[in-house]
Amino acid sequence: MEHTEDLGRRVTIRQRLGHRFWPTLVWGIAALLLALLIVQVPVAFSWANLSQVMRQASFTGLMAVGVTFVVMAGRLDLSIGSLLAMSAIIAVDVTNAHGPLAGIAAAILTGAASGIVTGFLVGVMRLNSLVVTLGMLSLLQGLSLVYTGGKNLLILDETGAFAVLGRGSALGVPVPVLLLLVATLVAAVVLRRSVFGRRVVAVGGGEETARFSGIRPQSVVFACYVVSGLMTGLAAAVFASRVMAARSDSGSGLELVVLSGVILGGVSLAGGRGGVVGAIIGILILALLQNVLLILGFPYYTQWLFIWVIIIGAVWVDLATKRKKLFV
Amino acid sequence: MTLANIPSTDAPSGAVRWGPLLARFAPLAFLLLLMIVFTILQPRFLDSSNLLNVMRQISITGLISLGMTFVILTGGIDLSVGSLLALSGIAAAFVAKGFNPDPMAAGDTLPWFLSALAAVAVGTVGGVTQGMMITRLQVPPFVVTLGGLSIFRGLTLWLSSGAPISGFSKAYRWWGSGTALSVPVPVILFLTVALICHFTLRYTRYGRTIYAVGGNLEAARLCGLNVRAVQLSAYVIVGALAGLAGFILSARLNAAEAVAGTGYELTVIAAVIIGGTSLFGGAGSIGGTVIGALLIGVLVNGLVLNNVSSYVQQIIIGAIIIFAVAFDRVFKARSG
Repeated sequence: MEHTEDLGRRVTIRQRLGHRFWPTLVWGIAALLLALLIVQVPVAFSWANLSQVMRQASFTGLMAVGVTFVVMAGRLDLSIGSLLAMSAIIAVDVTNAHGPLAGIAAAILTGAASGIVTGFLVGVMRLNSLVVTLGMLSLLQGLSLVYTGGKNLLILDETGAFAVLGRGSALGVPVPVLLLLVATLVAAVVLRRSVFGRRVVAVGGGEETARFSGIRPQSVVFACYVVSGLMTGLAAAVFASRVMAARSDSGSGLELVVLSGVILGGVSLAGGRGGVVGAIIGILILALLQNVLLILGFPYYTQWLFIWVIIIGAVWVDLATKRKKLFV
Repeated sequence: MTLANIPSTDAPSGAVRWGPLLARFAPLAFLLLLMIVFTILQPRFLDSSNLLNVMRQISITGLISLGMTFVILTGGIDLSVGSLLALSGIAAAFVAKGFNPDPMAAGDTLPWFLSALAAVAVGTVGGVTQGMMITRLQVPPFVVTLGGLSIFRGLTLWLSSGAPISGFSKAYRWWGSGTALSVPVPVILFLTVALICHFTLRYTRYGRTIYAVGGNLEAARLCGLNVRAVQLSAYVIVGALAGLAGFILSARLNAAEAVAGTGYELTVIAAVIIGGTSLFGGAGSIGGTVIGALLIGVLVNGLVLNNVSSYVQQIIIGAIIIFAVAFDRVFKARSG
């Protein structure tokens, strides 16, 4: 009581902000660091570099658009890296034989096929998504190895129409980035405004409750995996076009990159929270972060050290804000 | 609606419930089936030298699987074990060389038991760090250990500068390639630790708390169990065992490599799941994990003996994992 009288009506900043204190602090520090970076490494923020970064990030971005549906429904998909390889391989072979349009279609169909299988196992048979998609990862990698015999597959006509997908630009914007923008918009609208999208969020938020509302989680989860497969197939076509080649370890480890970006972007692994736009922002931040660290001279593995510290920190702060306690 | 009208989903009392019974012995049955099939295809399979080979192959990942059993029993997961193994191996090698950066100098500066201690210590510290983040910060185990996978691997690459450290003393190497009574040392270690873990899980109070926390976290908490400590302990155990495995592997190869253990988490988790431990926690056993590890080892060994390409092997292993989970779900009739 004396204490209050002594202080009068002085209110601390911490009290003012309340439970928003920690996120505000973190955002403040992040903004400060960003300003520091812009001053120290201006080359990273040049249009040339940024458009390169975005072009690079666009196929992880495309994969992220698909994976976001799966994660919003409360599941995981660790097979997307190997699926990228398999679809890219098919894209290259089919393009060499039947032209670019057939190649792109084949890639998307391969992705869809894998999505159907995974969707059946996880959605309909209700198996654990972590283990099933780990198994699919192994399976798809094996299939890629058998198909290619361990060799590189090359596109025969590098200057042909196929190159437009990965290497072209329209109105100064790289084609992959345009694709990503369109995909993000469509996906965001579907997730937020369509019946299907609402069902996905419902299933992720609480499966039993969703079932009592008349939603069939099996069908919804199945559809999410098909979407994820389709998007990965498209990403594979873009990848193959960019690199003009494919091999069985293309995209190896990409599932981690994509999931990292999605988590950073605020999509909750438990399902039901977050959105496509957030996920893509996470992917872009991740790509920019990697790029800046690269320019600053940090080797690959140190980049990932920083990145993961940031991701874990971000998840922690996000959870701490929701439960209003730093430590449990 | 009275109680009498609610249809019963249980089998009529007195009838044998085939589903769970089948599920419990399925891993063992499959193992025996596989062994019979492979012996028919290649009688060499049953040679004692080949069987010992199988045991030796599964010992390293088997050790980690024992620890992973504890983690999955509490309802968690650890994806960082492969990277932690590599980090521990590098730590052991560093100690052996007396922190002397010259990796080509043969022989050790410090005795093997300090190396072993260093490896287990590094593994334990890794496990504690991840466990603390999971229990105190409540960050999902998937996120934390996925981060651990990258972070530990990064540390390994950084410390070793990407180059393997090789050339250890005979005493060091004995732990990986030596034999005692013509049984490979790693196998003895694996079986010993398996026995200790089995005993701990089944006959100690601590073991019961593991099952309790995994079976129903809230109920365990309300019973007064220190849920956070139990969860943390599981990650400490798997970390320590990953450290031990790292030491053994470096002894076996006579080199600590920065790329060691890549992809091990798949084999480790598969062994635990195939052995019947449920991913939801609360059900499973060490015996099951051992059988699961044996099953994978026998499968790979048999495929190699029959000249199946390693590419096809990957397909088969992936399919087996999926099949194992499907089998678990179909026959255990667990809901949700």
